[in-house]
Amino acid sequence: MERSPFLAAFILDEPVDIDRVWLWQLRRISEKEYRFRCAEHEWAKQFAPEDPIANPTRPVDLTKIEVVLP
Amino acid sequence: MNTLVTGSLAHDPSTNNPPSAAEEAMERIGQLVDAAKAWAIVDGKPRSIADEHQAARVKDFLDQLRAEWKKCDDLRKAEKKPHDEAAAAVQAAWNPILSALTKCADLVKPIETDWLQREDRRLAQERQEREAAAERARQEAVALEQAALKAKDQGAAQIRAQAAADAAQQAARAAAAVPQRAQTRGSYGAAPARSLRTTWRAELDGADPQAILKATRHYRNAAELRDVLLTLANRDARTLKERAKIPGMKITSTKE
Repeated sequence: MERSPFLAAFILDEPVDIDRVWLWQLRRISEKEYRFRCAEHEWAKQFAPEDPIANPTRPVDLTKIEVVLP
Repeated sequence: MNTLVTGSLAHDPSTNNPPSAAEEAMERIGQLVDAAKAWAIVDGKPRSIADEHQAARVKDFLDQLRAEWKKCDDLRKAEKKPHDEAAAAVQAAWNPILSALTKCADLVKPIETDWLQREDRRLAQERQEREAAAERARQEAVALEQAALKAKDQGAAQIRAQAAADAAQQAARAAAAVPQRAQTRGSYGAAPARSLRTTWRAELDGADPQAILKATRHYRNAAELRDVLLTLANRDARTLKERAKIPGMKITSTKE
């Protein structure tokens, strides 16, 4: 049986409550950027585990992460 | 390379004292300083942000600097707090004592001041009288000297004239010997003598409606006057913004 199209929300490819995306929306990004961010997250998990992108649900402490260079 | 670690703050590993929080922070601060230099200058020129990604990175770096500043400031406050409390306790212990002594002095000082004021007046009067006497003696000596030149008995006249000149000199010395100001000296000589201090101050001439204008014109080249005018004008400019119309002032705005 074919289902009708429906709205769904994903953060880092994990399905989440749609309200979380709907209510927290900050800036619209393209699918290409979304894919890039997901890949960046995967890379950071492996090679830069303290980088905020590796732990997106953990509050960022800017005094504990590496110095942001150009 | 951490270029900020200097002799006074650098931890000496040869001692058993652990590094202070400030010493520990220096390594990180050195990294931030180096990063700031790298952000600000590229190839010898000020950096210009080229895209949104770089703008986000520079924002992150500025946020990081602010977060680090707050963290260091909190550490500074925490380190300073016990010293502040100890200083406050010392103040609390000594201030009432010092205050009581000051009040005692305030209570008694007017008596001394009153004496010095009366003495000043007495000395001024005495000086005036002695100066007048000296002047009279001088004039008398001059008159006797001139009279001696015409006198028949010149020997006696010259003796009288010389005596008058000596008296005039003595009177002048006596006038000069009167102190210029009254002083009180303690019997024990434990502290310097005290005399009344003359203080001068200015106030606006209330009778002249142009007083402020005239004074402003007089001090038109003083930097302090410019600072006061700028303070007043900036206050109006911040409140009224583009509607501000201040004579002699140009109102501009910058975004930064």
